[in-house]
Amino acid sequence: MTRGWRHGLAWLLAWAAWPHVLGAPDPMQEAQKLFAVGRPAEAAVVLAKVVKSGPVGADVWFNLGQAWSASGEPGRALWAWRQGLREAPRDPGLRRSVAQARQRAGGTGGHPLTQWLGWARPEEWAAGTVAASLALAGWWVVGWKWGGKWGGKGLRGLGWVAGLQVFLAAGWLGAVMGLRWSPDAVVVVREAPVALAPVPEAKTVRTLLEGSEVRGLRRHGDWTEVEWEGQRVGWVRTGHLLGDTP
Amino acid sequence: MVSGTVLGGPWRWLAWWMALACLAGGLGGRAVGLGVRIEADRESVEVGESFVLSLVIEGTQSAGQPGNLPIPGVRLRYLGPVSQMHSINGQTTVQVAHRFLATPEGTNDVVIPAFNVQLGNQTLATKEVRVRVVPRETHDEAVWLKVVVDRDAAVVGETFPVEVQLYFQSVRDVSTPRLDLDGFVLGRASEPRQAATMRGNEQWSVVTWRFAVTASKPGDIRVGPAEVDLTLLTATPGRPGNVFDDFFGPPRNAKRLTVKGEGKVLKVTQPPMAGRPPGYAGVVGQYRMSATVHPTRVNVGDPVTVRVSVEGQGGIERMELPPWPETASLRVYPGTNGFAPADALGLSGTRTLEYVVVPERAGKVRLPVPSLVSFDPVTRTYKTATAGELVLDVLAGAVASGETAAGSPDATKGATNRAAGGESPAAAWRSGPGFRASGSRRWGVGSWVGLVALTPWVAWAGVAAGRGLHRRWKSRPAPPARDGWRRDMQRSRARVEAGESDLFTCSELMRAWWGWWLDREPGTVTAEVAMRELEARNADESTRGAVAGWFEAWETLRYAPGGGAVGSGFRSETLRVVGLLDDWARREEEGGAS
Repeated sequence: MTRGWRHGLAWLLAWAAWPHVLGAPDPMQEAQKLFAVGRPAEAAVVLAKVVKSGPVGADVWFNLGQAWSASGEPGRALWAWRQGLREAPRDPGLRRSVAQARQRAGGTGGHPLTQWLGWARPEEWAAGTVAASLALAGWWVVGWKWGGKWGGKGLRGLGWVAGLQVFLAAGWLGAVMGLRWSPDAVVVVREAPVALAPVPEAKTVRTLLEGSEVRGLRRHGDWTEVEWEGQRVGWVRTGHLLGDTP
Repeated sequence: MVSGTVLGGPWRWLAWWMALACLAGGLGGRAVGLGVRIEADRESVEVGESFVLSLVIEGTQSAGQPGNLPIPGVRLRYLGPVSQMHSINGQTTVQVAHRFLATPEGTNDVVIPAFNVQLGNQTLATKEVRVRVVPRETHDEAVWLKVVVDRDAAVVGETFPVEVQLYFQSVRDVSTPRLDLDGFVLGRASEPRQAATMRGNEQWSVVTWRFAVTASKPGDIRVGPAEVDLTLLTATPGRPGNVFDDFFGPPRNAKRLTVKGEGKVLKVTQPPMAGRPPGYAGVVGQYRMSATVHPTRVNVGDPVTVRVSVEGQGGIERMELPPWPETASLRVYPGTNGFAPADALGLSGTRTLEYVVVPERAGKVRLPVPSLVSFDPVTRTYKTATAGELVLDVLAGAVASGETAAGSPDATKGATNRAAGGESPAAAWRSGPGFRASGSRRWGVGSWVGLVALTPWVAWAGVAAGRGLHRRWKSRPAPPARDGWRRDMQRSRARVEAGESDLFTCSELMRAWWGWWLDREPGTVTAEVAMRELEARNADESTRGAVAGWFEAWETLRYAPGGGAVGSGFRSETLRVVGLLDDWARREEEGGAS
């Protein structure tokens, strides 16, 4: 290996190791500093990268919503807060922010099931359901083996466990179905025209304001057919939406 | 009391109004709600024509006859008072109008300036009234139509009144005038107004329609012509000696016709390009602008109402403000608009535009109400009306409990200062953990949770069903014993026929046959039992002999040495005897059946 190659390799290693030596900047702190100095749009860009890099907590979603809101993008802010609510459905700050954003956009929120059962995540409902199911099965086995015939002393309290299991399972089912029937995307442009058909020359039947929550039904090219406030309204440019479109 | 600076001879006005005040002295406590105004029954008259001028005093009917109004260049003759009383929704108002017949003496317009009136202890003011005096036209017709425009030139976008006057003495069934307005946009129209006028020594009636029109394109454009359909009534010579003619007057001829009045050509020009400010959108007129906002202290996201009032003259009813400038600090939604006309044609008045504004950033937020750029056709200059500065005090209402302002105190202060300019937020920030500990997401929505939930119930149902089936199987009714013995017999017969049998098998075959036939336990069948049955049923001799011989042979062989082994002869004999028994049994059954 010649001297030049050795120098080149040394520089390459030093360049690769430099961030570790200095310590890579924490994106959360970087975003917080940008937000503090009045550059919320740049803070939102940093946080958006964080969100894309892996699963994040509710606080990150909250901060991303704040940054987008301060940048004058209430639709994206609502979407971020909604994501945060999925992580922490009982978070008062997130609930208040989402409620205010929905009020501003004139929306009513998701399916009623999600509002009734929205104080717990589907994972929490599922965990309770699984635990209650195991308890119910174990209770039966124990009661059957040692409790004599049905209704014996070994099965005392079985009704309570069975009732709890049914309640939790129904709650889980409702939460899942509510999620399935709820809006899964948010309008992120000032006004999104809604067309009758997924073609540019189609007649515009109405416009959706920024922050309107819609549910994508199907996709056709750059267009997504959406349902708004429980009604199929028409086709919207997919680029005007942010969320889990089909 | 009248300010006579324009009219001249203020002492005469003073004397006249003091007399009027004395006449109104009887009002006493009823002076509350008084009002006074000057009205003319025509907007324009020809030279030499008369019109009626009224001094209307509201709130009383007891004001007596005033002296003559010394308006220069006008000859006045007092016609008398007209008292009126209106009752609307239980509220009664009264007024008295002192009417004068006014005849302009020259060719100048008649100007009745504003003046003050002292009624009781109140000082009331009238407004200036103008009556245009136009050149006299000579007409020999019994009815004619005239289009009156008060100007010779206009600019595109300018709104002005157009009058259509119908002169007649006796007509009926008059239609609404049709006005050709190519190059103009027709606006409001007032109710037709009828007045009487003297032309020379003849009295004529004049019906006046007024329209507001707006010039929409440049060029020499004619306003009109106008047409009116009517029925003209003309007198016929009376019939001497006819009592009806003497009483009702002579009959009149009625003739339906269309009267046409020529219009007037206006020179319409575009507003000048020189000095035209940016943002000019074609608004012509004289406007003043003001705006209010309520409330002024709100949280982020709370809507406020901005009410913009534009007051002035011109095409104010159709006037629109330019859109609000785009800003990230605000969202602006158009609200309800209103227009309060100050005259019947809406040429002046107050237009109110409401906006719903939602602040999206905290701090002192200035509301950029758009300015109104207009062209004043009187001064022929451009003017910009602004609403003054409106500032909102916006609080960060979305801050949740437990959340802190971003950054250090200094940073927060800096952000707040910037927010005062409407550019920077002062919102909450959280310092919680970034990444979530649990890697998998949405595991709780899998269908396996439902399967787990159903498993105990499915297992319980399966166990319960199994137990039920088991109980049912165990409690089923037992089959008849004969069927089992018949199966034993068939099994033993198969073994005997196959040569695998011993003495026990042959015995089992024979006893199973008798057990089946007698429906009793095969082990209890003996030779006596079998013979008793055969005898009881009168079996033939050969059968009885064969059975008895079989049992003797069996007894012999049972105790013979050889361990019960039998030869083929006994097996064949056993099969033969069983065959005989089968035949006998078949005959017995057939006989019993027959």
